[in-house]
Amino acid sequence: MKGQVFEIMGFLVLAIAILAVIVLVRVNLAGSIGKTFLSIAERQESEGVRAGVNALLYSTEEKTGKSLLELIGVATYVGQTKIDFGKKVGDIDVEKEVQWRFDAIYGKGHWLLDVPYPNVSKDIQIVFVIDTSASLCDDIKSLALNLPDMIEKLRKSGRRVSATIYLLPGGAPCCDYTISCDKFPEKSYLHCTTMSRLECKSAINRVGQYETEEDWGHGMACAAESGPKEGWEKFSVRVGIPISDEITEGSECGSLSSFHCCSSNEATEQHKSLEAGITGAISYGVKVFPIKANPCGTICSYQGEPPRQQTDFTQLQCDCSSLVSDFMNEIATKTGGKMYELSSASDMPRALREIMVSNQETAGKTFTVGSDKPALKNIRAVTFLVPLPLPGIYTKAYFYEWS
Amino acid sequence: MKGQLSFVIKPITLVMVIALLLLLYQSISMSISRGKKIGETLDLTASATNILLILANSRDCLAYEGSLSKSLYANVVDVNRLNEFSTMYFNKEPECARNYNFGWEVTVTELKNTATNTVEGKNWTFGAKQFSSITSSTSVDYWMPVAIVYSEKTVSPGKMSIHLVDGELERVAGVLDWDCAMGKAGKLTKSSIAVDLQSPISYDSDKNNLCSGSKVKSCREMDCNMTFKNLDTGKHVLTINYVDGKLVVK
Repeated sequence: MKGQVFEIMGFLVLAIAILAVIVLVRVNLAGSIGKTFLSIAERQESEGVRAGVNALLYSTEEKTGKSLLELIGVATYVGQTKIDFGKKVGDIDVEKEVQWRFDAIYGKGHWLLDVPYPNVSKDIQIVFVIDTSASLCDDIKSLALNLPDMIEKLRKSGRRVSATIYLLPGGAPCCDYTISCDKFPEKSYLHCTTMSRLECKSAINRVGQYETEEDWGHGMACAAESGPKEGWEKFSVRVGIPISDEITEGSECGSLSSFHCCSSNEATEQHKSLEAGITGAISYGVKVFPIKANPCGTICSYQGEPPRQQTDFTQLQCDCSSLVSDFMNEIATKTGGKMYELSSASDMPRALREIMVSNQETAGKTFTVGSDKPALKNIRAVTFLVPLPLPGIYTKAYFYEWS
Repeated sequence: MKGQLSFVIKPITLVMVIALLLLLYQSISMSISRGKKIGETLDLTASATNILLILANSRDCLAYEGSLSKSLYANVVDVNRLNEFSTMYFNKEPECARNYNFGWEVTVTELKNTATNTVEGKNWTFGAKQFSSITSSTSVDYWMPVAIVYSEKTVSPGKMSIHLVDGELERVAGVLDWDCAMGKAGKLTKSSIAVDLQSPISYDSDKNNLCSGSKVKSCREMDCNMTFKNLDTGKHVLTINYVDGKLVVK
């Protein structure tokens, strides 16, 4: 009996050993063939993805004739997915251009393109449109004191900033100076010009009928059209800064005996001037960051006949303060800028600094198109260089694809 | 009783051991044949990829050459070359990307964006039109993205798709075309090949077509005129001679 038990056990051991050999052979053979197949297939696929991405990036956008690679470079350089190519071509939505091409090739939800915005300083071109009425005396003085130093410091740190100041027609005599370009000595990056009349293709102020020294609406339109002294650079950050304490063409309406705040109605001449400013700024890709000077409190200017020192704003100007905010907010919102409100002239440097900084911060942002990468999927990744619209400067792009 | 039990168990053990060994043998053979099959598929896929890469990136094929820089770009093809290829090679593979083991047909399709969706624009087709029957061939379909250059400023995205076939007709025609090319180059005058045919192969000297099949025939245009005796199914050894620009196959 004992012998038979051993015999059966021996057979069982033998059977288990043979089965183990079968399993081992299958796992090893199939595994090694499978691995080889997978690694070759993966290499083929990743090479295919790389070649495909290259081909797609070389394809051009119809209206501009620029390749997708160029457009991505410009978009990441300017920090916007929509690029303004001027009146003739209009806006190009780079995100949309990338989206349809890659969707058509790799399928919706199967790819992701990530291009970090490069940490390079862009040209920032600023055009100021400044109200030259007496109530701006202290604000213009503060601007003249701070602006040149501020730009020079930024330029020394590698930021390419330039400014052109457009003084609206007029020029009030302040207590210690007269508002004019003399306050802004010419430098390579700072220019000043007085607008003799507000007349350009997109805006005309009927001189004589309305205040020109406060017409920053038409002024903005003409400044955008004329551009800075050196002309608008390609793909620069374009900033327009109107400085005033009144609405376009002045806050006060009515006759001398019955002055009142002008209406915010869209049919008014004041609002039409604002609209001209908005249209002009948008046409030239200018973001408007209005600076609202304080219309209440005291001023120091020589006015009247014979000239005598004035020390107060009119109460009406102060009462119209919220209307000024409404006008300035409207142009800021519609052009992608922001309004800054000064409580006193000493706030001017802070406002200027904030405007310049807000137009430079791109670090940490990315140009991202496509879908989020899924978990637990085999993802093929390709990196490639994207040329920026600056000679010899590139940024890295990351493309991910999964099935 | 003990002895009788042992008498029964021993043959059973023997039979079961033999059965297990047979199972082991079968399992190993299956793994090997599976590996072979995977290898063949991989071979076909690799060949398809290589043909597409050659077509898209070779100066002799479709690659776009920058007019100023004279440089080539990855997977960027010239629309003029596409037009030429679809006219010149409407029924056979172009020489620049000929693979003498397989037959193939390539279609390049342009992609366009409309207001609502992406649609297919123009397309160009070239390469072989007919292939060995499904029973006597294996095939693979593969594609890769390309850019189609109309001008430096007009480049459209597109897809280049290939249908690659490994079949009797393609293999035999491949050998004969290869010998023809070698003969023309003065590098070869005689060779031989062993074939095991599942479909008969015939030659139409009027059209210079080599055809496979009996009732429904698939044909390929040959590079050289031939003297060719039709072949039935089964094993054959072909001797090929290149004589005065013509192949003599016996």
